[in-house]
Amino acid sequence: MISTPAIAALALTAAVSYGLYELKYEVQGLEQRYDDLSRELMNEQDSVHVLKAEWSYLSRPYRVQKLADRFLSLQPTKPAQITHFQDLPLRKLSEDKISGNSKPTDPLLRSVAQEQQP
Amino acid sequence: MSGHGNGRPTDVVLAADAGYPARLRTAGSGSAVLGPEAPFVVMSRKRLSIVAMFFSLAFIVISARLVDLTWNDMESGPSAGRENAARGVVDRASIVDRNGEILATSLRSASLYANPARVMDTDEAARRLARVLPDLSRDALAKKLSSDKSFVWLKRNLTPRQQWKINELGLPGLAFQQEHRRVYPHGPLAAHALGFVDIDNNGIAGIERYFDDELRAPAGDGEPLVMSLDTRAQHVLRSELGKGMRAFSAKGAAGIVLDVHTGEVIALSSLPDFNPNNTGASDQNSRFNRVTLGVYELGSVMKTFTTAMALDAGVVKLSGGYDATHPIKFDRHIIRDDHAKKRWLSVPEIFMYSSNIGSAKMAIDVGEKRQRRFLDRIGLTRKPALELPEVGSPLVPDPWRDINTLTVAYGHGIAISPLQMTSAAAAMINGGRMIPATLLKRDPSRLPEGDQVVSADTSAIMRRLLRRVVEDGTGRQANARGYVVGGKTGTAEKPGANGYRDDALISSFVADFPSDDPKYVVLVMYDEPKGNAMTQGFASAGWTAAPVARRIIERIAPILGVQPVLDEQEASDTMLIMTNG
Repeated sequence: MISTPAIAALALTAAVSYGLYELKYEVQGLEQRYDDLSRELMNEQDSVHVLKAEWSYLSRPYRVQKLADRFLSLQPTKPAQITHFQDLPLRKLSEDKISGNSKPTDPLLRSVAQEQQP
Repeated sequence: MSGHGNGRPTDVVLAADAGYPARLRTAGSGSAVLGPEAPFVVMSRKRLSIVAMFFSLAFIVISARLVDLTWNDMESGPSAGRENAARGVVDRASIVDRNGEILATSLRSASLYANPARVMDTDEAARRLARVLPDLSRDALAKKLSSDKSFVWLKRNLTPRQQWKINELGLPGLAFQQEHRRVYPHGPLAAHALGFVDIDNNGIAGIERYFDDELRAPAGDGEPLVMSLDTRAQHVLRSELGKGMRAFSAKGAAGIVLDVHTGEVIALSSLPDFNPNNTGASDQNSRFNRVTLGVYELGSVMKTFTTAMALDAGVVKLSGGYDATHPIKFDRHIIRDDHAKKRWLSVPEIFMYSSNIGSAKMAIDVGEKRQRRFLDRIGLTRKPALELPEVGSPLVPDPWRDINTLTVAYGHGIAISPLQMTSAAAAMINGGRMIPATLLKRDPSRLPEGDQVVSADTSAIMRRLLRRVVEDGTGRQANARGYVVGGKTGTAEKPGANGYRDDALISSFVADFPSDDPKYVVLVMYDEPKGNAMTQGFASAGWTAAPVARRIIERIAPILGVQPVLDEQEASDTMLIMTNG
C-alpha cells in the first residue's frame, strides 16, 4: 500500500511538472514577443537614425543660409545688437507710484481704471 | 514533587520499549524471534537505504538541472536582433561635432548584384535595367550580365526608389545585398577634417582614416566619435573664406579657428574642397589639405614669435628698439623693409610696421642657439601631432646658416603649415602655454597642462602688441567692432625657380579675440590672391586676409558666445537702436 508521504510526493511532482511546463511555454511566448519587439525597436531605431541624418542634411547651415537669404531680410548680428541683461534700462517709475498714489499713468491702464469706477 | 519523580522513569522506559532501541535489542538478542535470516534483513535494509539515497540524490541533480536549464534559457545570449537593438543600428560609428550634430553616419542601403548564369535574356535585362538606372550604360550592363562569373556587382547603394523599381522589373538572376553606406549630410563643409571612405567603408583620408579601427568596432554601444568642430563656425569660416577666394581670384585658401585654452580646432577649412559623398568627382588639388599638409613660408606673421622670443629672453625691453635706417647687408643678401621708415624704431613700432630689419636685429641679439631652441619648443621644427594622416612636416633650413637666423625672424627660409602657425600663435597669447591642437572634443576638466614657452607677462605684452597692429598698424581692416581683435599680417612672396616671385604671394592674417582675454585665434591664408578694385589693387595680407578675418570674427563671435564690448560711441548707438526699436 502506498503511504501518505508517497502520495503527497507524487502529487507534488505532478503539480511541479505542470507548473514548469506552463512556465516554460509562457517563457517561450514572452521570448517570442521580446524578439518581435526587439526587431521592431531595431527598425524604429533605423528609421530614427535615417531621420536624424535627414534632419542634419536639411538643417545644414549652407541650406539654411540660402533659404534665409531668399526669404528673410535678416542680416548677420551686429555687436551693437547684443547687450547684457543687466545693461537693459529699467522702466521709469512714475512719480505717482513712488508717492503711493495708485492712479495709473499708462493710458491703457488709466482707461481700465476709469471704467471700473462706478 | 514526589509524584512527578516517580512517574518519569516509567515514561522513559515505555518510550524505549516502543521505539528504536527496541529494534536494536531485537537485533542484539533476536535469534530467538527471527531466526538465522536476521543479519541479511539488516544488511538489505542498509543497502536499500543506500540505493534510496542514491536515487534521491540523482533526482535532486536532475531537478536542479531542469531549473537551471529553464533559467538559463531565459538569460541566454540575446539573439542578433536584440543585440543590434541594444547597440543601435551601426555598422561604422557616426562622427558628430562638439554639439552632437551629425557629420558622418552610416545608413542601410541595398546594392544590386547579378548571377549571370541565371539571367535569361541578357540583352532584354540590360535594356530594362538601363532604363531604371540611367547612369549605367546598356552595353556595360549587357557585358556584365553575360560574364561567366557567378557574382557580379551591378550598382552599389541604390536609393529606395531604385530598389523598388528593380524589384518591379521581376528579372531573374538579380538580387540585393544589404549594405551600409557612409553619408556626410553636410557635404563638403568639413571635408578635409572628416576625410572619406571607399566603397567598402574603409577610411581613406582624414579622421575617417586616422580612427578607422575605432570607428569600425564601435565600443559596444555605438557611441559616436565627438569632434572638436562646431558646424556653425565651420560654415562661417568656409563661406567667408570662399567669398574672399572668389573675390581675390586666389588659387587656394586655408582657414582655422582654434580655442586658445583647450587647443580644440573649432573650424578648419581648406579651399578648394570636395564632397566626401562623391569623392570620385574630386581631383588631387581639392583633396589637398592646405591647413595641415601644406607648408608655406608665411612671412611677417612669424615676427610674432621673434618679438615674443626677444622680449622673453630679455635681450630687448618693450621700450627699447633698433635702428632701421639702413638695410642690412649680410653676405650677398640685403634685408630691406617694405614700408621703410628709415629711422630708429621702438619694439612696438617694429611689430606694427612689420619691419624686417628690426626683427632680424632682434634675432641676432637672441642668437641662433636660443632661437632654434625656441622654434623647437613652439613646435615649428617638427611634424605637429593632430588626429589626421595628412599632416605635413615643416621645411627648416638644413644646414642652418647664419643668414637663416635673420630671415627666419621675418618668416622667410622656413615653411610651416597654417596649423603649426595657429598653435604657436595661441601659445603666444594664452598666457604662454603651448597646448597641442586636437580635432577631438576635450574634457574641460582634463586639459593638457602645456609647456610654458613664454612667460605670462610676455604673453600679455604680445596681446597688446597684436591689438596695436589692428588699431593702428597693417591689420586695421580686421577690426571687428566690439570684439577687440588683435592680429598680425603676413605677406610673403612665393619661392620660384629664380628666387622669390613678386607676382605670387601668400597672404595670411592671424587674429585673436577678444584681446583683453583671448578665447579664440583665427588664421586666414590665401594662396596667390590678386588685387581687385575693392582692395585698390593690393593683394597683400592687410587688404585680403585681414578683412576676411574680420567678417569671420563678426559672425562666429556671437555663435561661440563671445560678448561684444562696446566703446562709448558704439554703446550710444545701441541705446539709439533700443529706444527707436
